[in-house]
Amino acid sequence: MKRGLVAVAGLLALGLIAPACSTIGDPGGMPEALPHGGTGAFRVLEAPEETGLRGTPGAALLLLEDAFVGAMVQGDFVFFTSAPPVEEPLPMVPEDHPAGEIFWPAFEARRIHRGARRDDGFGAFDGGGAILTAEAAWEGEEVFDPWVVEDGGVARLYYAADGGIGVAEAPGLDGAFTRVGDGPVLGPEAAATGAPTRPSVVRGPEGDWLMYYDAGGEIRVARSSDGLAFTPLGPITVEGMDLGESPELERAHPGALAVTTPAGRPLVRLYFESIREDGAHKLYVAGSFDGVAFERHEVELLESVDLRYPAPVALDERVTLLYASTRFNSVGRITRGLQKRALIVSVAPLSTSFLPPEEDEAE
Amino acid sequence: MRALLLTLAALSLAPSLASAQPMDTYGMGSRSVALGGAVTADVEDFSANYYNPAGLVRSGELRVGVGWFGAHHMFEVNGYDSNVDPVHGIVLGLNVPGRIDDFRFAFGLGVHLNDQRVSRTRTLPRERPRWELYDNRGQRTYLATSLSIQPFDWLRIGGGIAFLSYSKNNLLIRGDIDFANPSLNSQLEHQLTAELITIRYPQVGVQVQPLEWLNFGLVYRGEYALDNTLVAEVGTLDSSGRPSIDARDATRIIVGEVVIPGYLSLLSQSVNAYVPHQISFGASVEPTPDLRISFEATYLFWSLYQSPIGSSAIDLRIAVPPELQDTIMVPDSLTQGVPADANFSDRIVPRVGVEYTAVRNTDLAFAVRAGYFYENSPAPNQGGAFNLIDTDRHAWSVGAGLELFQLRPVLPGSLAMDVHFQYGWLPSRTMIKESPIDPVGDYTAEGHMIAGGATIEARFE
Amino acid sequence: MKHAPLAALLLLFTSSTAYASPQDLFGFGGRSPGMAMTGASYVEGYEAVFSNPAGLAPVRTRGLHLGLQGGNFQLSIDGERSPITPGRGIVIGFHLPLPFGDVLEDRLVFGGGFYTPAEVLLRGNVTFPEVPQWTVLDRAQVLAVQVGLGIDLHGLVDGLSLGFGFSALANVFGVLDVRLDETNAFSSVVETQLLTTFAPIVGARYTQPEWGIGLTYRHELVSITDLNIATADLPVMLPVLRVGGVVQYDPPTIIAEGHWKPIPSLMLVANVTTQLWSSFPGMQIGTTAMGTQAPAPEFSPVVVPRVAVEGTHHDGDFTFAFRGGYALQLSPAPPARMANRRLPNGEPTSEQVPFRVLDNDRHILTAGFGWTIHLGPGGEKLVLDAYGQAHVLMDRTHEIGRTAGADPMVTSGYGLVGGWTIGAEF
Repeated sequence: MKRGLVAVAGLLALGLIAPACSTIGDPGGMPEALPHGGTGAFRVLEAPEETGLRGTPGAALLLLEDAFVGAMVQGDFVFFTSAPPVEEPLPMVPEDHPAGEIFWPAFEARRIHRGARRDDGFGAFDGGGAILTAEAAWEGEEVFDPWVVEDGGVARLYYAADGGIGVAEAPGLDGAFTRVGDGPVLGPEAAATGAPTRPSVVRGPEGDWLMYYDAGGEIRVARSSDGLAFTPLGPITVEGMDLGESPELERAHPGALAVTTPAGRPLVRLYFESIREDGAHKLYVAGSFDGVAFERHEVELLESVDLRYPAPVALDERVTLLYASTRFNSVGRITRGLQKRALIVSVAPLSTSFLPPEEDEAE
Repeated sequence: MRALLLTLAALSLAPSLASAQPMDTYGMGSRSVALGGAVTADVEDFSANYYNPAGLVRSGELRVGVGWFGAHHMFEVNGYDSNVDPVHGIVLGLNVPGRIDDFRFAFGLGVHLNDQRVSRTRTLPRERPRWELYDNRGQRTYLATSLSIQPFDWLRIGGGIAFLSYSKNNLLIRGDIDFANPSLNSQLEHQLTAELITIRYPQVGVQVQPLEWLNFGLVYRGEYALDNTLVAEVGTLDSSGRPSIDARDATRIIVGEVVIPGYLSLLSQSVNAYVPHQISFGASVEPTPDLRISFEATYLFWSLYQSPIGSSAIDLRIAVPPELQDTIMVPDSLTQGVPADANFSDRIVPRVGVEYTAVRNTDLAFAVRAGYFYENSPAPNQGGAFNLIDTDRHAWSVGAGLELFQLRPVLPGSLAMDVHFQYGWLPSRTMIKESPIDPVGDYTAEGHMIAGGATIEARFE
Repeated sequence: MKHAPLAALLLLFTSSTAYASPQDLFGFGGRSPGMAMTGASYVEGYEAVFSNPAGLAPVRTRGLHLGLQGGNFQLSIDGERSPITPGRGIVIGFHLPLPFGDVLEDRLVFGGGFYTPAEVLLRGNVTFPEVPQWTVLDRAQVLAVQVGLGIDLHGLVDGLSLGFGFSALANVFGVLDVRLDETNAFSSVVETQLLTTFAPIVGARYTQPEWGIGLTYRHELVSITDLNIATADLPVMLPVLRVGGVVQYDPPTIIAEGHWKPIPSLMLVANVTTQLWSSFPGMQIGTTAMGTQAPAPEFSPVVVPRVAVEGTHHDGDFTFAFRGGYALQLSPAPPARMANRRLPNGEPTSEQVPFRVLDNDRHILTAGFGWTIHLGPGGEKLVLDAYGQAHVLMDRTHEIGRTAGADPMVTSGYGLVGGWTIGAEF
């Protein structure tokens, strides 16, 4: 009995010694889903593996003939500026026409379109059709630069025109939009020169609505309690280092995002286009606790020479999609060779993937 | 003779190879862990190698022990699993007493050997969030030999000098890189110098037993920091600082018919594991022969913490000809990193342990144990760029032990089997960032930890 | 050279410079290194964990021993010094009879031996093939960990004992990853792991009062460093790079030894050690998956004859021992030569490169001294051992010169090693 007990204890002891002895060396674990502050780097989604659209890397919307420029995404819809080409023959593009700029004389008056999310792929849309064209006198010939928010079951569309920034409402994102009021909510007096354009509206940290807009060479902000009547507050302030190669000439085309951090703090992230001295258009981001004083992140969001009109979408508290327009040369029958732009989508953090599940596992 | 022996003992306070981080966090030996680690005053099994080497000589028995230990971490940041690796492995120990005339001494051997690896070092990007006190510090081996003497019946002194290592690696790569097909057609070779460099730190302890039922203990463990340095070079520079194309150690990029010299250097240096100076003072009382209660407080000098945020530098130089400027674009976002303070604070860790011998007769003794300790986090709010995550920890432990006597002639002594279970709770802590554009942003960290193990010890009279 | 004896003497008393893979080059402990690294048939106690773990079995006292070892080699190529890294280290050993009773009484003894380099626990150098390198002598400085268990078969076959043990080393595996991080800046993740590698040692001994024989097999002991470097987001795509190599290698070794005591105070030892160096894979590994590798080392097995003598003198409570030995350590390495690179599958290519792996045959002369103070009737004692070794490299002319176009190089040199241990048995 005693021998047996000691023998069992001895065998147990040997069995405890046997395992492993520092020889296994499994690769260590890394955290899932590290927190991310939406500052990049962004990764352009793979096309067509992730987006379902062929062509330009990250393609989310690509119109063969019609012009396309600034867009934003709300829910399952994309809202963007578009215009069909004029009757053929198209006017000649001058030799000194700036690179990356659409030659608007080749297209009709700008109007606002709405496209629906595609079923195949992720983050891509169909072209859809026009939902708003210029009608009111203050709008002049065109309406453009849409930005849509949802407020208590109502979809509110902010847009730019010759006379400033106007508002239209619809019972839902897929509904018909009706203008609100007889004039702009922000007129030319809200800008340094010209009229304000490219509105981007979010709920501010204090609960009111904040509208960021282009104001003739700078980004300004206006405040509203109801989303309809705005009071201009003046230019935003932007502090912080800029590690870009070429000096920054101008900040434009804001795309704002209101977030609440895991600590419950509301803040505003403002994605913007940085126009550099060497002609490049790069995307940066700045953050603010009060919606007026911003601190910028020092490096660009993703490597490129020409990206414009950033429009962010927060999927959750750590994953951010960033839509932007990139240049390409048209392959359409009518507009072949013309400089055009397409919508691309990118994601941060880099490790986020939207590959279909089978392909993701194979990766 | 005694002077000679004391001299010998002093000389032989000798190189023990120890790595204390897993023991700091998880404890050693089932009985000591079950008692919440409050054992400095009267520890006498092989775990004395860690808790108080003075205790090695206490029992006067030859003890050979082996066991297994495992700890599993369930840590989350913003609700997502941090995947902090478990720590599990074997523990081994020896207490070897000796006596020359009336002079009693003992030497001991204590080992914690991780199943997975002897050790692991990790250097992460500077801003990446990591559980600083748990992520990698437990991935170590503990190997200690210590010596203890008993100059008087009521006084025991023990200690050792521990050896640890830090690493330095230098590597040089040369050859040709095929731009179009780098994996298939590149011809590269390398030269490597890898070093694990020795460092030392002391550990000394004292046990005082003024009365049969009253014990005091004091232990000091020295600090150490393990540095991890990697210097890598691909190619070499000429005298003007440009990538060389024809030096013996040059690296060339082959783009079709064009050959371009290139150079990449990488420096990565960080302190990978830091253990602070610490002093433990403990006391134990036995109000009845079957009941033992112990208290302990450990002061840790975390304010001297050497931050893991070290130096990093990447230098990339490629002599790109004009016709390839659009193909090979050398980025300028190769930022350099400098060491940054962690600003940790000192802390006191209180511990308490209770052991009750429920059954004792000539054949066996059965005891139950419980313990608790509290560690407040030494890490400040991570409001800046760095993210050294840590929260407070409460740990509750329970255990039991069975000792069998009357095992002669096979075992002239007794056989002890102990088990323990420990639960640790890391309350939620929210880190608030100073910058609204911090790349990581605010986050909340919390977690739980469970650990358990068993040891078997043969005690020879 | 005239200062060599003084230097050797100093080495015995100072923690001076010592060498790589010391137990294989110089032996382990305080007694057997003074006897030409013999011991398979006679060494008892902690030293036996290396020479023959069966030698643990006869021990009946507990023991703890500490010591220092140091050495330096003065090597030259064409008369010019070719320095290799010296080192020094601390020796620790213990043995412990397990006091079980009944059938296990006086049967099992556990022992361990550790060598701790003073500065460097591990240093591995993997160099380009054309660089002159003393591969056999300059093996990585490395921490040595050896444990063993001796089994005394008294009562079954008196005088017969068996032993089992192992040596342990560490392999280094790692990953270095360079890419854009979450903050859009290039950064690196470096992770290295040390994993253990074990080499078993088995031995048997049969001892009678006037003679004894011992047989030991030590399996090869290999330490590898293997780091993978992966990069992404750089303007030039780099292949996955693999750096590292064999940073420590002791070949499989078979030892056969016998000793004879014509009179009780004199012991003569004869030993044949076979080192199977043909298993040596070479230091370097291929840097890329499809790239060529350094030439094969083409080492050969060697048979090393050793002889030793020990005389003892008792004077009251003191015992003195005087030791000496000689070994002829043949070199397993071919001369430095032009050799063919290899494909990843090991097949030779047509590309020849200078391959300057250097090693010479060596005469090894050893001397040692032991002083034991007996303290009590129970076997308690203090033991002091000291030794010195002189390694004399026989001149060797290689096939190629030190640099391209030079005359064939001639390598030579010598080495001096010393050490001491002090221990208590109780």
